[in-house]
Amino acid sequence: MSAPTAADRRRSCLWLAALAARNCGAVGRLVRAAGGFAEVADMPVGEIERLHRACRRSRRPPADERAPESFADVCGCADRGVVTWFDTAYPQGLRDLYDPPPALFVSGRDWQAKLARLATQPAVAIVGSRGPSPYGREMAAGLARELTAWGVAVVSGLALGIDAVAHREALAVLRASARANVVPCAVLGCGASVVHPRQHRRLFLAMYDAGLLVSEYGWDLPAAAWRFPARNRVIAALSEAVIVVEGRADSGALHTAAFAAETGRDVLAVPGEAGRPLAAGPHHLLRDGAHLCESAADVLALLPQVPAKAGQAPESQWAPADPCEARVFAGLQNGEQTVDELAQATGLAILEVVAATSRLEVAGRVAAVAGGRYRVVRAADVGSHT
Amino acid sequence: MRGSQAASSRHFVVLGRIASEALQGLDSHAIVVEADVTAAAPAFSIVGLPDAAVQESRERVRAAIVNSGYEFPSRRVTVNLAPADLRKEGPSFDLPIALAFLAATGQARARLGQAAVVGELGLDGRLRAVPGVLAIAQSARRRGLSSLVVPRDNAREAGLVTGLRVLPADTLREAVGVLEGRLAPVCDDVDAEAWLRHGDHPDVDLADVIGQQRIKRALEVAVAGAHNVLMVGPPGSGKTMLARRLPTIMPPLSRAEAIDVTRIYSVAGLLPVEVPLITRRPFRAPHHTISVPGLVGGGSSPRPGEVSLAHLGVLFLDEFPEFRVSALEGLRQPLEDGEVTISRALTSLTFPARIMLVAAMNACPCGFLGDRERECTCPAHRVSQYVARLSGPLLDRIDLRVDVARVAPRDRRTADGGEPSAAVRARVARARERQRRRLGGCTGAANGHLSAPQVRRLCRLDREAVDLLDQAYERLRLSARACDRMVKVAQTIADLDGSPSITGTHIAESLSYRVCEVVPR
Repeated sequence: MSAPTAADRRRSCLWLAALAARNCGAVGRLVRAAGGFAEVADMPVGEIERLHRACRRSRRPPADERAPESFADVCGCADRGVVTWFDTAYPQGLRDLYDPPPALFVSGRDWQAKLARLATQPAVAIVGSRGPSPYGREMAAGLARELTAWGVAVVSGLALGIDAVAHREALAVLRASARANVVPCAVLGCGASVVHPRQHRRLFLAMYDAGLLVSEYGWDLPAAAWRFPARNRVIAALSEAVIVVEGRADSGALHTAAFAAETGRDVLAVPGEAGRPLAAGPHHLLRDGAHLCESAADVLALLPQVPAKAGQAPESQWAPADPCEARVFAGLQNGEQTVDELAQATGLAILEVVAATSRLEVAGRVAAVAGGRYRVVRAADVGSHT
Repeated sequence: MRGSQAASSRHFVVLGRIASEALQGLDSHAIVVEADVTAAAPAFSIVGLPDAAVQESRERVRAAIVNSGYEFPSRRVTVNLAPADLRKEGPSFDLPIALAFLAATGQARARLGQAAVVGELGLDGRLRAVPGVLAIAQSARRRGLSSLVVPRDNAREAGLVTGLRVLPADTLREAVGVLEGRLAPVCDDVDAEAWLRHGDHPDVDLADVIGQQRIKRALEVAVAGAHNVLMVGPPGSGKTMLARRLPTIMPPLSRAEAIDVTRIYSVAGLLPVEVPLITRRPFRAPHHTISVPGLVGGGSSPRPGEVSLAHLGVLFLDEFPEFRVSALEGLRQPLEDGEVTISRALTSLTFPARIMLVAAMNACPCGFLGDRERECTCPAHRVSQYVARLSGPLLDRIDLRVDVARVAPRDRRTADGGEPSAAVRARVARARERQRRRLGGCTGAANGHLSAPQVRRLCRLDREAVDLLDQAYERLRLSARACDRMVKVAQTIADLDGSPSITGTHIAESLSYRVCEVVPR
């Protein structure tokens, strides 16, 4: 049998990609049967199909009996394209997976140049809950901001909550600064041209303009619940480290962390308040040996490519000049407080406390949260990089 | 031949004619009740656009006349309510119809000039109270009538109008006596000032609420500037308790204001007989299942809704997002204009509705978002759906938003209630006085009613205030409209402070009451 041509391999990869998009774990089973992804992808399509029939789980109803239509071979277009496992542009990190995406569907303005740039940049994934607390939002925003400013590509999943915060913040830094060569990257669990969830339409378009949207599921496939955990392995493999910001004990972010650990990536967890359900995920990871992540410095310390001067300490010594504000700010350091509680703790009058909290809020140092309480903004964005 | 016969028989007929009043909304119109009795097949008909209740008065009038010992002859009786194009509603025409009939049959002789008559008849000839007597008396007074014959139970209410002789009657016989000038009953003394002084002792006080100093301050600001308030907080945090105490820190009703409010309650039939004067600022808290006509007024014969019943007082809407969207949208006009206009095919009525709106809501459907002890169980999209029920235009009319947190039992034991209502009310009154002077003497005017151009013209900000507002605009992503609201509220705070201009501290405080992005933050 002669060696397969590049066109044959491409056809096989696209066939496999179509299979992966409709059959959970099918590629993994093929890889196990054949002994490696390269071995599978080197087979002609007919042979892969035979092998797939042979090793598919017999109990399953034959929903995938029809041969998967291979995805349209769109390439060379300016705004979207396909890279297969055999292409040089294929991200190296993904080859660490035992069941790598057979083909990666990439969408984004000028995607080829960006994909090449992404390969030269350190990338860090920021993942977490879809319903985060204000604290989680701030931490995710602060980390994304700092890391992007240091030239680290932020990878996430374009989901609600932490993912969206991380993407937005990274894009904001790119818009505001000259660091336009950093490529934030979103890994989708649906087709690479599908906006999901719908309220992220503008974020999607912004990512399309300034970053990359990638998916292993073609262009137009609608979202399905089972593809999201599988997508998480791509997020982990594309990055050098995974930061979990907030998540419940059963959060999908823990899947991402598990994939990261499997593929030898660093796992970092942002600590939360003991006993809070949203802190259960990160705390579980910390217990299992994840790195503690209090600021971007903790992440940068794990990335040898980024210059060492990056490891600056988080700003904690800031204090307001006004004595009233200083007392209120100090009073807030130990947790969220209402105005009444602050007045009691600091001995100031209600009106003094109200004025001080508002001024601190305008300065971006504290934030009002639900329940009439104020909290200190961690990783405050006070215009250091813009 | 026939014509002259008719003319000669007509000569012997006495036409009964009695003046009365017909209510329409809060206004009353003069009408004349005419009765004609002719020798023809027995019949009793009422013409002149009567409604069902007026049609039924035939039966009441017939029975009352017979049971009072008068004759009801077997003739043809025609009663006309003039002018014929005005719709007549309700049972208040019973007495004038009966009197006109008695005059037409020669059983009574109306000697009382310039008198209007209203009253409902019982079958035994007793008189029953009717709604809207205050409006009727005012209208009679305005038209220069000298006296008004009313059922005894309405006498005190009618007596609130000075310069009008009120003649109370208990029965149809008494009313005839009054009309013939044989009886001259006197009305009980009506001392509105005493009622107002006496009624000024509310049974609740701001000091009943333990802790919550910040919320109390926010409510003080709201009342001082007549700003509408949104309270957000978990169930059991004291939102209703605080709202109920709002009227106690409002300035007491003046006599004219009390009469205005009483007129609305009188028309709605909600006035107590003993002291028929609303002496305290109204507090209305309708349930969230209320219909649109129930809230803003309406119905086939338009009645005042809850917004009008809360005129010059507080309209408290608990569970704000649970109200019908149409009902909430109906609130926009009264909040803007201070009155409700209800249009019907024939008429268009206006009810006053200058209210302070106090809306209360949970932060999320389960209520515990942001609560310290209990975790919220709502998915994020349910929270946004819940908040999305509040329309932007309605939120634009709310100047202050406060978060109410639950006070732990431990703190409830240690903390005290703070100032009594009277102390706060004194400050509010001073602040209102300052506003009145600045805004040019018109009574209702308060900072909460300022329009955007007025804000720009009348509110003076010092340098620091301007800087802080500009920073806040950037950092807190305020809209231009939100900025105007901030200035309005800051102006009220400055008025409470006695300061001639708005300083940074005033702006800072007003920023803490900002309404943008309801929940979660």
